[in-house]
Amino acid sequence: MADKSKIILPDIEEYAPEPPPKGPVVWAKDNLFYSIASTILTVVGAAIAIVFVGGMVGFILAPERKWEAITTNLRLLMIQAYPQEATWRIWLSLGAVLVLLGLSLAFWHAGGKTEPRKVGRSLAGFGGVVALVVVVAPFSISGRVIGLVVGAVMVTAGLGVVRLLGERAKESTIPTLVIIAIVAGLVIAALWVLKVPIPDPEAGAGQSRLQSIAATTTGPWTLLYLATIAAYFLGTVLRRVIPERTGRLALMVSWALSFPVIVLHLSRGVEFHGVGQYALVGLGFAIVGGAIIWTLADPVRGELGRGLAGLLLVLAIVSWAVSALILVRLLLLLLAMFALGGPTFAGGARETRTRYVLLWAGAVVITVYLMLLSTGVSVVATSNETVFGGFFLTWILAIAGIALSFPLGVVLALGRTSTMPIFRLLSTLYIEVIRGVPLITWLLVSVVVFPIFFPLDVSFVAPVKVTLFIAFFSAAYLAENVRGGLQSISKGQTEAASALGMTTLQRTVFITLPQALRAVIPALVGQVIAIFKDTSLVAIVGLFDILKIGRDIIPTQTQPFNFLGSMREALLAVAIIYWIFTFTFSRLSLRLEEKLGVGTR
Amino acid sequence: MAVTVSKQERPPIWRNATVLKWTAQLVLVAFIVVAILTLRTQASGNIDARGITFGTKWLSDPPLFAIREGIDLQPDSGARAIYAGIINTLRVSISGIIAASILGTIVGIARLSHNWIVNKIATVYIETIRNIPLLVQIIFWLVVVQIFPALTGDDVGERLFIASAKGLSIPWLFPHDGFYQWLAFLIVGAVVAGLVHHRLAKLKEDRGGETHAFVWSVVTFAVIAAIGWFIHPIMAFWGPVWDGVSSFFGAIPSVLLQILLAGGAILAAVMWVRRFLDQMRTPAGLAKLTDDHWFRMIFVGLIGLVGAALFAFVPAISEGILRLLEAFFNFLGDKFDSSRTAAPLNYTTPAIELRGTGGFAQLSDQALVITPGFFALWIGVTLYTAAFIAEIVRGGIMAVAKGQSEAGLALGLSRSQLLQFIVLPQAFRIVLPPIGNQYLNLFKNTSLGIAVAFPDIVQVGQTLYNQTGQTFPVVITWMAFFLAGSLVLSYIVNYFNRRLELVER
Repeated sequence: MADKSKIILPDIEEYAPEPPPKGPVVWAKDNLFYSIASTILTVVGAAIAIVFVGGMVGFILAPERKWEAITTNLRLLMIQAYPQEATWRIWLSLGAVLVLLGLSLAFWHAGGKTEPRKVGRSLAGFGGVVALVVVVAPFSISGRVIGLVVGAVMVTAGLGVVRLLGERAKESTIPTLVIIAIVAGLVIAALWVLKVPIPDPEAGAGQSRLQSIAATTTGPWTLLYLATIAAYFLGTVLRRVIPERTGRLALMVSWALSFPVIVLHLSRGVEFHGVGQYALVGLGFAIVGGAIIWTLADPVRGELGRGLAGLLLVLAIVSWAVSALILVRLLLLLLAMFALGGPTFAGGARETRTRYVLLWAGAVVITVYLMLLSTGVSVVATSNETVFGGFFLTWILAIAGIALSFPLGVVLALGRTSTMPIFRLLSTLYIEVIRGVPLITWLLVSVVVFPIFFPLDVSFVAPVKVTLFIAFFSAAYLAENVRGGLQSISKGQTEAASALGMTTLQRTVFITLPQALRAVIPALVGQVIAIFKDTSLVAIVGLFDILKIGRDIIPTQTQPFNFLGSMREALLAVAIIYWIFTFTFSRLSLRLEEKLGVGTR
Repeated sequence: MAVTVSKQERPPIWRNATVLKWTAQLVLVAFIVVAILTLRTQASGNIDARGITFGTKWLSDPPLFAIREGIDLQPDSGARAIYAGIINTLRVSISGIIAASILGTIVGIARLSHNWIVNKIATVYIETIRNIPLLVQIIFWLVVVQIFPALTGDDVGERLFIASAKGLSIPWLFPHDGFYQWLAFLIVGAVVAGLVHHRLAKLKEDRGGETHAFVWSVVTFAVIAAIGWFIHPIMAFWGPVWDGVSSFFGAIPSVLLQILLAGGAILAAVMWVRRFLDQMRTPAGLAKLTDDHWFRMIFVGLIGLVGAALFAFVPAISEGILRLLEAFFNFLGDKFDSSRTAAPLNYTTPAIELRGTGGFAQLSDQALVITPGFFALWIGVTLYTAAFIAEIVRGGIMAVAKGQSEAGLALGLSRSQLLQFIVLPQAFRIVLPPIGNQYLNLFKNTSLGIAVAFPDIVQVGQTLYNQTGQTFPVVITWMAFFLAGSLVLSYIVNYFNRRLELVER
């Protein structure tokens, strides 16, 4: 429903005179001591805060803490057993993502601008927190003085900027991206400048030397930082040269492809086998299949075309029962799908049909490439079952889980809202059974029951099994979110589409689904966050993700250093790493929600 | 103008929407059936190759392990071990749900407080807890317990409260000899108190004036409970009654129940179809039934028939129900036995004792012992769920129309009165469904106890299948338990939701 007050009434606050600035005493009276109960609450709350913050910082600073267990094991936490000489592959993967990010930020005009007074106040608030923490926590005298000076500088700088700019501080002038770039730059500068004692195995037990926290990563991080900024500026130039629409489309395809390419290609370093055979099969499918699609897509063929496409589908399904190259089976299935969708998506016009056949050719090329990648042998040799571990594994599980669950979730949502009873029944059954049982049960199923259903010579590596079940699990939740979106679409939309003569498939793909998905974007981001957190459960089924390393490996290390009893430190570090990312996601999702204006239209 | 309507041509069969839809659906069903059959063949081949046969023997065989905590530490059968695991899961779930509701409500209100520091503490709590995976938190709490002092032989003795690396121990009231007889008094008290409340509330409505209905009903309940505490043995006359009921169920032949249940299943299906057809009836006669409607009726009919066949031809179901009822009333008969004359509740204080062959200092289980695993899991799920509940409560309070608070303030209500009588009752209605969802999440999240060796159903099941290789049956047991639990919980939430719903006109 439209928010009528916004349309009819002028925004009163906009015209109201600015209240006179309040002093800190008035502020405290208004916000802390406005009644007897409030005063008591304030005192109690302050006591709790002081005890808690003091205790926490005291715990962190206590001399017996083995923080060097974390600093020397950062590589283990991030990428586990990935060989050192191949880490450039990880950096390259990360670089590819960041460059894509920089380009995308430019092409989508991301960011917006913020008010200097907000920035100043945040800075001042941060300074205040720093000053409070050093006072409350058991710092040394010099530590307290330094902390107080830093805090005071930040508070003065923040408030000073606001005071200096006066009225102009209320205009949105500072681009958000600049602030983010400055903060990231400061973090990287800190990597170069800040030194902490790190145990030195060569100097002997108990010896340590000053080093930055992640000494080997300062160079790559700086490079990546510069590359991202360069990519952004490249994007701003490019978006003037090429049409924005084309650029965005290319970027979206790159994003979709980036994940499999990174996981299968960059990080594994694949040696291809049987390229000639695959290329031949692909070429054959592209040409013959293209001709078939071109013919069948013409609506003139009527039911004959659909019937033939249906036969293709039967053929494709049969091919899974007989022995054939997996590539052939996949391409046959894809071909049947394209042929079935032809009349819906291509139609009679020459141009659209040409475009459709080109799309088919592109799909064949991508499929052949991905198949080559996944059947190739990894050149990155590790002692492990797979090359993936640590925080890197967490990301792969989360992204792959979400990516795989998305199509399944949408299909399930459509099934559950369908008018066809058997589809509805099966979808509902799937969704309710999956949702009713906890994820850890499904993960145990993936490890102990799932392999029973496959021939003994087929073995999946653990991450693949677990990813599949995370995807199955997530799909059920995703389906419920999408169903909410589908049900929020007014009936008029589907009726209008029917009146235009659209088929059920066209109506769903072009009218209902896009609107439904747009309406549930915030819920979908929430789902991504939930899955990101849930990947920590794989530690229980024995995968070496960041939690398993922090809990079971670091506290048991005795050579070359003794890190026994460092589990609290390790867990705290893991928690902080998770927190940083989840918190950022949830803030981004809030901003996205505001920008999309979901719920306010 | 005359309009001529030519008779509509029937479309050819390959263009008939109904035919096409059903073809697609039946093809999918056929595909699924074929896939399941293929997987089944493959699975049975693999299972044979491993020399395992899945069955129910593991349920009756004694498991070769001890359960760390719960109602039965040395279960004599697999079924009993699973049952002990279920009780442990329920213990954490129920105590967690209660604690998380209280904490979540407090934090949610604090989040809206005008007091800056209270508001900030609530915000920091929510933002910290929500953004760290629950599993990390549970493991963290387990490590935290380990900083409590270890027990040594010098600590032997009784205390009021013990916090040690082996767990916490607090004073507790345990049900004792006469508990069930007293419980009967409590039930009587609750009924009488309800009547008193009803009567006084009616009086207040009829005559006006404050009758303190709530206070009086509580007083009534307390008085009856107090009297019952001393004279509970007089309830012993129920003992023979329950014994009689028990032998009654023992005497019924299972054939009778088989027939009754089968008949009931068919009757229920028929009733459903009749009600469905009644709904379709319009003043102009029966509405046109679509294929979907027909499918529903046939489907329900089929389910009724299958259920009836199951009840009629599998005597084990009826037999099981009868034995269960018999055992239950036998249990009640025993608990109401006239020899049980001691106090209903037993107060115990924590103690440390030497136990085992080596004489290690242990927490005595005479008082309530909270093991590290239970503590970590319970506090983990409680804090985590409370953060989500707090956000829901905040949203619910903010969703109550502003005019309601303004009207309340205009009537001269104080802030706390406003919250108590105007805002919270309305917010409660809004927040109930999402909070119910959080309860379900908490219930499922207790399965993470497996990471801290808390013997819930998942952990016990895992140990069982590691020992016997009966993976498939154990997984089925898990699924049945969690699905049933989710169903019951959502039924309870829905029940309250319906009761609270505004009556729409």
